[in-house]
Amino acid sequence: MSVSDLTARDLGIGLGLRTVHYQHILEKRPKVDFFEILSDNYMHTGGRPLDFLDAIAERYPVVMHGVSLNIGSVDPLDRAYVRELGKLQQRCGARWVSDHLCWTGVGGVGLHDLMPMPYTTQALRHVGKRVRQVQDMLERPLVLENPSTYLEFAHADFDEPEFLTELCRATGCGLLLDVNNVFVCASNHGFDAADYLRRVPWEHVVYFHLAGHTVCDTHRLDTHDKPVCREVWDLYALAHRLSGGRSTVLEWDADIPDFVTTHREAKKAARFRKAAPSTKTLLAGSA
Amino acid sequence: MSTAAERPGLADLQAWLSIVMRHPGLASDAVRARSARARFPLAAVLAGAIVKPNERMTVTDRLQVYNSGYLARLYDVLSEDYPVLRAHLGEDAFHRLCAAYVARHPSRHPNLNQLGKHLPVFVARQHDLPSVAFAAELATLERRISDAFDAPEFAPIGEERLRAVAPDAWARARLACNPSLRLEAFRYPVNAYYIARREGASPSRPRPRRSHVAIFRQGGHVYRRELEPTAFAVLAALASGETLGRALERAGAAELVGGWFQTWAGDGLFVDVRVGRRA
Repeated sequence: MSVSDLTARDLGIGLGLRTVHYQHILEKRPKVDFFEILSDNYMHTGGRPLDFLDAIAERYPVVMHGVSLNIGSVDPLDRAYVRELGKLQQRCGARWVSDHLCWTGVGGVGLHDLMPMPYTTQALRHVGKRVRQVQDMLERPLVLENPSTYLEFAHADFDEPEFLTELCRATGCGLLLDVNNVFVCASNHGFDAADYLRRVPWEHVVYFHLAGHTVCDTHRLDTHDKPVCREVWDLYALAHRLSGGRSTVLEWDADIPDFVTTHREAKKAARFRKAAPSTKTLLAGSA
Repeated sequence: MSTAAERPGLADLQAWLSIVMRHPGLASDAVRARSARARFPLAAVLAGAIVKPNERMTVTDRLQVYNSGYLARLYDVLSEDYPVLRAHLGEDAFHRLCAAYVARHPSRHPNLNQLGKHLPVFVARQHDLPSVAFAAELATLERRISDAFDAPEFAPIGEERLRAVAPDAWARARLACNPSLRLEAFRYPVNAYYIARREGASPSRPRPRRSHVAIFRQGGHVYRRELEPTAFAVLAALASGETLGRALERAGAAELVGGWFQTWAGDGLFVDVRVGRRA
């Protein structure tokens, strides 16, 4: 399986599956294109979450998204974790397995945060080697997400689009392009989000994430606790146009509204998929 | 751009950030800690040689975003796993407990459902906590609920398998219990207190009174069943692999009383039965 097998089909507009919506989904069986499950919620447990997952995977296409692969860490790769990911993928028939381009712990201690990678040649080689190991174990391309970050390292050989491009070329991995994260990082680090999108290796982009964030006094925080802001919708329209159309997931993780409201927010994406900016706008460089 | 020789390596960067993030104080204190300075000199850090400042945030402001998130996130996890202990101790005491706990027992598992596994033992050692023995038992009950929730999958034994055991063979039968079953003997009536708290009451700390509780999962839900001491002893002996005859003997029970066995089987506590050879 190669990344082109994953990018070939636009699954439509999906939702991040959250426990507060289980009952509604199973009782009402709403029309949703697909669900993205949080892999870690169904690992190292044998109880109710798996019962719900089985029921949902029977009715809807499912993709997997995790937070604990720790792909960028200098700690040894957690092969047991990767094996568990593989078992879960088999169980629910997930179309793909994604996590984040980050590290989440070191020295055996989990920080449970998406820690930023320095975009250096050393880091590129290190992550590339581990991505290949994971892909060999899963027998499928790994899909990695650009995280929101709140600091930049003083030393770098690449900017983020360059690093992602090099990583994709070296490993054949896929990208989960989180449009909200691009916007948050652009604001926090002072780069042009539209320019970032133009330099993404689109042939590797498997799907998009959308979410809301919080505006603090000095920075923006990726909180997934509110609707998607207008600027991110505009960026999404640009991304959709540049990609030629990719599956899209809305994430909502805190202060989660009822299912109908959450789904309504996700379905707004349809409008922006139709109203992508004109080619002239794309070339002009304004999102 | 610095030369390659001046560049911090990936291992140093990650170790340093981990120290800064887990420091109990602010990031501005964390970068001054000896362990942090052993990785990168303070002057270099403050001059932006490791992390870049921007026009709105200093180096330590940027680090503070991560430092603040660390304890807040782990506190949320422990609050979710120990809601009644939190209510019992009060917000401030529970927060202090969590900060001390994660400093002593940082997460070492990719899944956060393992974070609080040492909390009952940790609470028992916090002698400055009021009513520490009761608090430790409350923590134990809540931990067992989490354990039962996350226990491996199982299929309870069917009635026909149980009916197939000949009446005179039961004394030699060994029953395998489902992997979610947890049996706890308490010095306090912690289950009654737990129920009252979950129902929104604010009960005072109970006086010591022994109680015995089976915690188990059935059909995806976790249940708690208070047991008589003898029933508890029989079930504990069965769970340890004793034959039914020996379990009754150890518990000093002449026979199974009042439909214990039917209740347990109905609760899905057994996954297998094997009858040994006649002695």
